[in-house]
Amino acid sequence: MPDWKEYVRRRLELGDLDPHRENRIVEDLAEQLEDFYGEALEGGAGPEKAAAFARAQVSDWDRLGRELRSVEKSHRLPAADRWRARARARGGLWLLLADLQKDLLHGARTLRRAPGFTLAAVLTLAIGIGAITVTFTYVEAILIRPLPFPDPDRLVMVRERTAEGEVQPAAYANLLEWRREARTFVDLAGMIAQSVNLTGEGEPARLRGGFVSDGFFRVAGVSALHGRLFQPGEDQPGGERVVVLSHPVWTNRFGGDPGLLGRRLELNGEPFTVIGILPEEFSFPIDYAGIWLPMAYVTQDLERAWWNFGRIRPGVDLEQAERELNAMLPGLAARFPELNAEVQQVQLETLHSRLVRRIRPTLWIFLGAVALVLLIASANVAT
Amino acid sequence: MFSPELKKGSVELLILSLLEAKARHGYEIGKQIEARSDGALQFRIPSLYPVLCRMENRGWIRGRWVEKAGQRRRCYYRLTPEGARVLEQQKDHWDAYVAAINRVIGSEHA
Repeated sequence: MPDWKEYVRRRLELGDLDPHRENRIVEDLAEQLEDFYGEALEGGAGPEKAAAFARAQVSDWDRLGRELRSVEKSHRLPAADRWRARARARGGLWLLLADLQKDLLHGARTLRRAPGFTLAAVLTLAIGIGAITVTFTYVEAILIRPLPFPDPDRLVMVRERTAEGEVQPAAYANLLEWRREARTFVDLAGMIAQSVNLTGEGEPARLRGGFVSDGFFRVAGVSALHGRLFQPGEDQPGGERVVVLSHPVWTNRFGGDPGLLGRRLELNGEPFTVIGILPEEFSFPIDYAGIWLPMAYVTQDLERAWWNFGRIRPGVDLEQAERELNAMLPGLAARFPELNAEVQQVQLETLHSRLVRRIRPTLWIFLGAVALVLLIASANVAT
Repeated sequence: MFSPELKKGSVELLILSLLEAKARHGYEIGKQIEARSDGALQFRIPSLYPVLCRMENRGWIRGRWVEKAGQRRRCYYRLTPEGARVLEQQKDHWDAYVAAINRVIGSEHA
């Protein structure tokens, strides 16, 4: 049986008619042709003659199309709607664009009719969008963006939990033993932050210093921009006093002078040789220290370093590393009983988690609140 | 038999009067006109269908898809109250027109 709908659709040009109206006309005409086809079959004609009889009912489809387009002017779509009708016919992504266009036009018409409301709506949305943008910028920078170190998710902080449930920095002696024996770490290191007096070079200055144990820069995954970093053994007393400068101190205090390497600086009244300059982007664990010195020269009790870091080996997860360090605790307790009298457990936490732990809930709550404000503002505008 | 202009002027009246009795689809309307006129009046799709659409756009008739038992789905046209009013008006005009023509040509209206 002929497909009369397809037959009509291919011949009848209705222009930019409302799709519903167009479908109605096409189907109605198709049904009438079907009736003529049936009439001929009932009259004894074969299928081919019956089809020819039906087709003969309309000899000039162009003229019929012209007349219908003229009659159906009231059902012709406006330009925007014509585009939307064609887009809908294509389907897929075009369907989405067609709906979006319809919503945008409707919104624009509504806003044009009420300029006062439009101004209020724009201001409300602008404030809401501005607030959420600013908030998300902080959230992204602090909570989402990875730390600027190689494989930052492998960096962990090492701390000890006491029997009373308190968490404290790991004992330095324990750290050194773990560094020697542990297999799940690339390296472990400690750091103490302490101010340092710089004299003998222009205006005396008090700089923030980072006193670090051997392997610190290896854990951080950084190389020197100029010169070198600390070598094994330089964190022990009695060796040459060496210092590494941060990039800001090198540029702001010493004008970025490459000849500074090998010069001596007077720090805390003692001469230290500048051996290296760190890259500009280095700020481990946070933007804190201006100069870096070996742990041997810190002027405080070395029982516990403030920060103890480790870089876990690839293929090892945090739980495995933690289990290994905990397995070594009984031996350490036997060797250093006073240091480990209160220690019950070793805790590892990723550096990122440790840095953002306190501010994370606040930031998420703030982001949620701002998002809610924007949602309410949008709902008010929409209704 | 009749000139296209003459036929064209009466097609609306013919359609409205056929729909006064009951709702009909397009094919049936054409066939009824032919049958009741004993074949004197024949309107093919190109003559009939645009008129149907125009009358629907004017609100004189309304088309609806109906599927009756044992039959295919078809668009049935029905007279609206406005269409009924127009029908009466056109009937009056037609009667007056025919009477006027007859007066001129001197024959009685049957």
